[in-house]
Amino acid sequence: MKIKHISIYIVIFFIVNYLLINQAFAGPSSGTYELKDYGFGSGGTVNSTSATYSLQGISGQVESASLSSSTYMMLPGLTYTLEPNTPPAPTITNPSNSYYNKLNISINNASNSTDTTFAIQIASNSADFSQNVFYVQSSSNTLGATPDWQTYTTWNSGSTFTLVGLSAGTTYYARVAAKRGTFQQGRWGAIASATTVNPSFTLSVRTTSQPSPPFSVFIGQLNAGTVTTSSDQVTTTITTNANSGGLIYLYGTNTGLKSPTAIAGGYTIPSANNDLSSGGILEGYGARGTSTSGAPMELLSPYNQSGDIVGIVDTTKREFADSSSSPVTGGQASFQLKAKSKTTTPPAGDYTDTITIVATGSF
Amino acid sequence: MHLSKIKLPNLKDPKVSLSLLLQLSILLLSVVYPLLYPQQAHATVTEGFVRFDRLATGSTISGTACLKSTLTTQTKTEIVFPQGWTISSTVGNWTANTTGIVAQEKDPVGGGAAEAWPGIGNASAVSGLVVTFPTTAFTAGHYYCFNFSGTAASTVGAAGNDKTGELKTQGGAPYTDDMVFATSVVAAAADTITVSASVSATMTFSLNANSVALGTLSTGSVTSDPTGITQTVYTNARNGYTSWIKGTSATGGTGGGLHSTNANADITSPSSYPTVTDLTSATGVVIDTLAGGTNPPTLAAGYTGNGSSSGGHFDGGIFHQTATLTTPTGSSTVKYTLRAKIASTQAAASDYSDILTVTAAGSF
Repeated sequence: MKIKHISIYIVIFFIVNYLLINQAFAGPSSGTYELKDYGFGSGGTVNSTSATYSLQGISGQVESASLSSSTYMMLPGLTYTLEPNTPPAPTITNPSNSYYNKLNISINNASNSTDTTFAIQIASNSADFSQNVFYVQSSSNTLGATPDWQTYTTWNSGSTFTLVGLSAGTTYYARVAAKRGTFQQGRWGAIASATTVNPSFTLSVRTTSQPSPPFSVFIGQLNAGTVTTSSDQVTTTITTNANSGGLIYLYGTNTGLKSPTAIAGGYTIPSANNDLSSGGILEGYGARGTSTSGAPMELLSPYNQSGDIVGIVDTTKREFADSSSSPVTGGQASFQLKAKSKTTTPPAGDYTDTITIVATGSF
Repeated sequence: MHLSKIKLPNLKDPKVSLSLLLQLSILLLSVVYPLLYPQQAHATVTEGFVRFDRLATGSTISGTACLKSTLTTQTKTEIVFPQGWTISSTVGNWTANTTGIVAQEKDPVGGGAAEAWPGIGNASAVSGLVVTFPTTAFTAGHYYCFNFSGTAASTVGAAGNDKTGELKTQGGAPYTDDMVFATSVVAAAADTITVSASVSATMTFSLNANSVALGTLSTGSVTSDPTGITQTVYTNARNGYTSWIKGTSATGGTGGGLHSTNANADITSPSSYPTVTDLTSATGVVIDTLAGGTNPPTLAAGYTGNGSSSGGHFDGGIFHQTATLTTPTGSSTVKYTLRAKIASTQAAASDYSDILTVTAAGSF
């Protein structure tokens, strides 16, 4: 069969189906009007009550179809009377526009009775809920494939809770439906939306006297038995929306301050976690955190000591500050470098180390 | 209605057969489609990070990746590097290990030690910005890390903030864990600080006393200074130091010794440097030495006596080496002990004396 014949067949197939469906569901009509929906009834009862039960009933009713415009929908008949109230749009937000994998949400019970259960439907990047449709799972506040009908109390009684496990840079549309009893699910309510941002991270480094690279810090002329402190501080600044905060590390290229010329094969003033002011420490080198700014920033041991107590600077990446497991904006941590020589430390003018700063966000 | 009146399609007609096949295909596709592309699962990653060893543009890519998940079905791991980074497409250029993970990495939330990433190994595939590593199943809630490294063929991209990538693990298709991260790239060398210091040459020299009284000398026994004079040297000279001693009195030529102005007589230092003289069988004045301190020097043979009766010759006006050390020293000492014995013909006087000068120099 030729392709053209196949195409014609498909078109005819769909046209016939369309006509059959419209014929089956069309109401009585004249040349001007069509009765879209109708039913017949002969009285009934309203609010017949005893001490235990009440009855609302009619004999015959309007069919369950409804009339609607873009703004309103008419829900006539007993079916709709028995349905729970349709919840309004939930409140879904991205506070401070900083969440990249979570959003806050709260629902309204629309004055439904306490035995009413609700499901929260979420669609990612799909305003008409035609694809990527999920449901909030009450056990984990994550999204799952099946509706999770829970009471208003379980959904935090209208207070905000946090949806987690979302994707970055994605708009999430949310709506709520209520259900009363096994077969009386109402329709989905109005839609609200919020958008997750992308994860962010910035890092900058400077020294007291050098706002831009290359950076160098001269500790000074070391005198035997005396602790010498660099006049320049190194300041690191981070900004991140990482849920578990930002982490700042440092490491050196040597195991201390190394002079390639002091003696044959070089000589290194070793670095260790030490109190350099102690008489028992004849020589040494290390970093001591001096300050932080930005509320969650904190110096970490062993770099958070006072006086001449320093933390080791060697080839291992060592965390010297973090943002206390919280997102941070403009969080700073600074450190100085200290060294001490002994009487036998070989003289040289080229004791050096290169410190590398690395930082990351724990997302 | 009678079944006999239902007109069944003629399946032998190719057009009818093709039509039915087409309709069945559409029906089958509509049923199977959702199974082919299941919706992504969510919320399995609890926390994680990708920390690069260097954040300067152009640096070779290496780093550490950590993840905590509730999933326990992992079979692969992917790192999706930020856009604009240069990623070597050669699988063999990408390695992974867990060296130092347990000792050095800790969970930022809670502080517990990290564990080695299960089943991690060198890369199994590279596609664009995505490098895939083998992995085996996690235990839910454990914090795992591994180190990864590319060669110089893989480099960090241009400077800028909020460079996003992904760390994913796969426990089926599609990837079920997906942690999006962001990093910052700084200008070349803007992530390093050169630290420098200098140590100047130092040397400290001291004598613990400046006078020696030998008392009344004997013709029958050797008289020794009971306390001695100790020279102490501190120096960071890379080749250590050397010390010397000389007398002042010249008892004929350069010969040293003790001179009495009143008697106009000398008690000479016997023999000549570097000969050691035992005064039990000779007369005169000699210097004996003893090394000490944390870094005892090597004594010169010419002043290495027996500790009781012998010693070396000293000259007036001429320095002779007493000791040497070839390394820097925190404390190096030489104790000088003068010993004397006179002949029966030695002129009597109470003013026999000499001034000894001790010096030292570092070899830098």
